[in-house]
Amino acid sequence: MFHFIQRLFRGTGLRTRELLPHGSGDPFHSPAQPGADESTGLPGLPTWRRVYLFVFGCFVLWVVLLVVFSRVFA
Amino acid sequence: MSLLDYLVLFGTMIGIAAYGTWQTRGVHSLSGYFKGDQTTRWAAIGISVMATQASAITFMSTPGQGYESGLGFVQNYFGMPLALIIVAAVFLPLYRRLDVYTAYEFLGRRFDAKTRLLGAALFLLQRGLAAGITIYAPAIVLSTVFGWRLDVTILLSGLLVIIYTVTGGSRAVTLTHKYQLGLIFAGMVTAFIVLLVRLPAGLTLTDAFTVAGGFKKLEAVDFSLDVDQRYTFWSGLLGGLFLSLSYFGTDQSQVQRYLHGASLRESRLGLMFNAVCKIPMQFFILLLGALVFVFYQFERPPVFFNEVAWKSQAERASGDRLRALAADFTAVHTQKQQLIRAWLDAQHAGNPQAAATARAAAVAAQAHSEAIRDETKGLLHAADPRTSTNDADYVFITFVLGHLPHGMIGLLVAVIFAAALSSKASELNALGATTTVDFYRHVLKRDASDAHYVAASKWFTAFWGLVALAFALFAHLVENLIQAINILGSVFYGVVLGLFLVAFFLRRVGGTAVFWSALTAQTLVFGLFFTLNISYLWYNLIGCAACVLLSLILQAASGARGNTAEPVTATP
Repeated sequence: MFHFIQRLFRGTGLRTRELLPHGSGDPFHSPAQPGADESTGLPGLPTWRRVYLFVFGCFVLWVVLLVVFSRVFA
Repeated sequence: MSLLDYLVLFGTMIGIAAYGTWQTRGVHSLSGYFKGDQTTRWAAIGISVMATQASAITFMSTPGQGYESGLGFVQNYFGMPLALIIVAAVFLPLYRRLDVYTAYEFLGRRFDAKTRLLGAALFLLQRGLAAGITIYAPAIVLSTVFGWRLDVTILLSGLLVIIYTVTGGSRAVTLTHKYQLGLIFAGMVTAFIVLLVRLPAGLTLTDAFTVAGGFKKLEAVDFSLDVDQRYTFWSGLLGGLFLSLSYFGTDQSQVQRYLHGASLRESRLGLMFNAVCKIPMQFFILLLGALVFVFYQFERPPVFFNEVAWKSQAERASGDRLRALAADFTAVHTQKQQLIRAWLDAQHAGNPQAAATARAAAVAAQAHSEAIRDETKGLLHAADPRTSTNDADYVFITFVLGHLPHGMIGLLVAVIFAAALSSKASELNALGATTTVDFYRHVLKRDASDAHYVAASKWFTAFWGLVALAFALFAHLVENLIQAINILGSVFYGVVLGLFLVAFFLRRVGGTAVFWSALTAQTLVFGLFFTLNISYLWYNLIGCAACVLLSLILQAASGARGNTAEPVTATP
């Protein structure tokens, strides 16, 4: 326990590579690796950037519909 | 409630809990217990994230909000889609790449052990105290309305959730979320249909919207820059973005839900599902409240929706004034009903002038009704200061109890309990995970077997469940408890978000700088809290900004590139 508390307040070097499986890059600084996880698997939305744009578009659409709904029955 | 209602209520609640417990029995690995072995598909993740956020308060208070203030509350969720995009694009890939159990474990990897423990401790303090409210808030309303014993209601619902959360861990939580949210949607759609059927004959849905709109209940978006306005597009977008980023990005009760994903893709799609569906879902619940308002224009509502509190005072000898106000309220309501019918008749006849005149008179009658309600609330509060003047939580349950057929009443009460249990289960699971992974495994016992950690996790989850139960049982002793918990959350949330924003976006800042900055920022927030008289929501912003700015200053003053991380042995 004492050693643990000692270590808490001791500066340690950046060793993020040690934390990863052998051969992995720095998780904090490397861009997202293209791979299986990067495929969205969605028809018409092949990249995550497009998925995010689609979600943002839905948000804008909801706001517009809410504004129209409010105005129609104001 | 009839026997049929009780059968539906207990059948659904116990059935879902028993199924979840049975299906997830025999979990022996920590990964299985806290991350469901990361085999969950996006739909289950999306549902679990949604069920965690939707507490019982969502289904009791939100229709009441729609009834009283209209649709404007939906703007509070405008920042959420943007926050979820940021979480999916920035936070989630790192959490998954580092294969962490908790968000605070990430802080340890990025900074150091002391920063990790600080983040975890702030979470346990804030969420541990708030956990009792998740059980207490619906229990107090339901026990009041149905005359149940408060302590029995709290114990039964609390013990049920503890049993399946302890037994099956995170997998049981995700599995039960599916059925609980299915039950919630079924109940809310049923209530909506019954409400439409119960509207007066000849009143179309367009008429109902016209009436609601005429009383300003359908004003969903307000683009004004007036800071005195409670809900605006801008406050919802900016404040909502900030709060949602804290909640979805750094609160373990949500982080644990999407770490279940079979892949980064599944987790991301689960979050995007919520980003797309949350606004229409909240709109639907608020619209239900607005339509309950329309319904009560043709059916006399109680003058005060907490009828038990009203009756206990009105039946006393000193209740003359309350009874007189109720009689006035009935007279005004009858007059208002005639005016609304005249307004709709004029509208149907194509006479806009007569419609406008009748509408203005109906609005004036509504203002008179509200004045009577306000005086009633004042009298009730003066007679018993423990009586809350806010009866919005009782609006929907009063409608359900008075106007839904037997069987459906049980279903709607089950909806409220399902929502309470679903959010409670996520909280307990997150509290157990953080205590086990960030404190027990990290500080006290480093080299034990997986089976040992799973056993410890079960004990910690049960411990937090009992703490929440004890807190809920004694919650009535604290005045304005819910507000106190909200304040507590705002006092801590800002600094925690600051820690994570520095971790993700300020790569040059190291552990020591951010640790002392967070402590200083938290002290500053405490100091301001006890000296200033500002809205507690501002402490979110102040805590976060102070943590980020002080980190930059301290790091610059120390001169070194301060990126530090725990040695590999520090995180088993």
